[in-house]
Amino acid sequence: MQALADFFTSPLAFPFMVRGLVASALVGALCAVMGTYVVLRGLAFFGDALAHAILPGVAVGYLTTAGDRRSLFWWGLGTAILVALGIGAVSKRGRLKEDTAIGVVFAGMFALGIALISTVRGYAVELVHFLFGNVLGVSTHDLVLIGAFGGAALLVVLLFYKEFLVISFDPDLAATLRLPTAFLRQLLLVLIAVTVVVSLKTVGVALMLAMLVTPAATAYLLVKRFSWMMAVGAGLGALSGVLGLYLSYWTGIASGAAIVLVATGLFLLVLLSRLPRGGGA
Amino acid sequence: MREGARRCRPSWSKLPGRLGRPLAVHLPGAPALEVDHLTVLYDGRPALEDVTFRLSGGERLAIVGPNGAGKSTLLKVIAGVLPPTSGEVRIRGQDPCGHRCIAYLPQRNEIDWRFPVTVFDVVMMGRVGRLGLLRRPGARDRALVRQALAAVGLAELAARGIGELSGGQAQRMFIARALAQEAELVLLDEPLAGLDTPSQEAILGLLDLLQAGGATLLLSLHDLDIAAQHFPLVLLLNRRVVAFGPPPQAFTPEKLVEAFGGRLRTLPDSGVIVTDPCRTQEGGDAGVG
Repeated sequence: MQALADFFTSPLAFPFMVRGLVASALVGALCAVMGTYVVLRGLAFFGDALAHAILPGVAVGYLTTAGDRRSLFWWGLGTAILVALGIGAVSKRGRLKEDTAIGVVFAGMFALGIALISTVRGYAVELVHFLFGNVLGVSTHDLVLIGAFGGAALLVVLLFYKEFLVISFDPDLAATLRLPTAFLRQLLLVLIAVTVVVSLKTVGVALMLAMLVTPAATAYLLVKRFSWMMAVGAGLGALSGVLGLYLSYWTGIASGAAIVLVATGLFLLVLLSRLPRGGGA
Repeated sequence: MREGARRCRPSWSKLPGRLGRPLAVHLPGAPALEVDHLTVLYDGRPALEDVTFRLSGGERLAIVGPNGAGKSTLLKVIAGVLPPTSGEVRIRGQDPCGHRCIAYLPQRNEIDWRFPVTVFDVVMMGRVGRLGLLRRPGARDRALVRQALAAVGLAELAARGIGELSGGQAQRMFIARALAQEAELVLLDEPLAGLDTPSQEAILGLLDLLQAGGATLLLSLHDLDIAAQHFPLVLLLNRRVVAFGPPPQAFTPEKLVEAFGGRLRTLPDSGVIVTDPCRTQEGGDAGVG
């Protein structure tokens, strides 16, 4: 019993762990709420592309501000919103299929980001932080940004809850109800962009998709109402963040990977428990 | 989006000023529906060509034609979901885009039946347009939804997930949504497709209910028999209007061949059979006696 308590309490002696845990929980919950839309509207590829495509923006910020960590968030946010609106516009009137267009743009931008960062000597550490996150490097200032922008994104979801539900379920109904469908679609993409940027430092570019998709997918298996899916997903996301960080602390596994592994483990657990019993088929 | 296409502007696009652009006023004496030289092009190819007809309030019309005849396209343009390439649709004298009184009931395969919503949730979606931004459904909305569910006989299934519904129940749920939406023009895209006869009868009964409430109904149908038996007016469509009028006048052998383009046999008892090559895998010949 004492050992279990120590497992959870002793890391709290380090302020960086406390900040990291708060950040992981917030990001886990936020990603799962937005992930509900990502899962139900089939936006997984968009989310992944968005996470990768902000790298050049972050890189430019990194180069021009001599590594001032505080400005990176704003560079990332600006890039993400531009990319989200750009994809939204391009996919509507392109000659290519939407996923092809997204693929071309996101791979190209990702390469540009790596190219830019690689011009700095000893870039490897920074690159690893962008790619896989650096949750133990989260500052109080970062927490404020996560809280403010994550909170704002959640508030918008709450305000437009019924409209987002209608455009997700039946876009034709949204049109006949005369909802501003184009505006709502773009707004949703921007909210996902904000979520990606807010989560960048915690899970990094490469594993972002898992936080958007996995807890929401687990919740999808468990409940049959949209609002419950959001709530359960948020709980699972926060739980994955916290447990993952403890796992990382005690085993020395990279934090982003540990968080995603916990989320994936929870998903598999639920998936297996939901399989039809008997015969093993 | 096609170039030059006019799209519906949202009713509360002018944020943050006064929410709600004025809705279209129903002009007194204007027909419930006028379709005027309507043409729709997809990638330069016509889906609909020069379609013209009109309906008075409270009428019901079956749109019949082969696959690819443009039935869904026509319904979606009338709903204001798709923009016309040229020509006009007027509902009570006004563009469809200003109307919130139009309900479009989708074909079964257009909906993700694994989406996590209950029957009640889906019917409540019909209220969203009237609620407006930032407002949550109130007691009156919930009462209307329950009333609509009771009217279609789904009160017991309100809390069910939509994935558990049969085809007929799903269609009844969408009719309940049209009721909750307080729609005056109800467009149903293949509502009878894939249903057994009792379920089809139930849906046809609900159409009477909608009509008794004053709604104008447009359905797309595959089955000429049902169209002939249950609809005083039919529109035979194959991208163009082949025939429009009461079934005896519209469903002549020549018109049917023109619309379906298949083979046509005259039966001894003066009936005809149209063989629609597109429907062979569904095992159905469209017959009319």
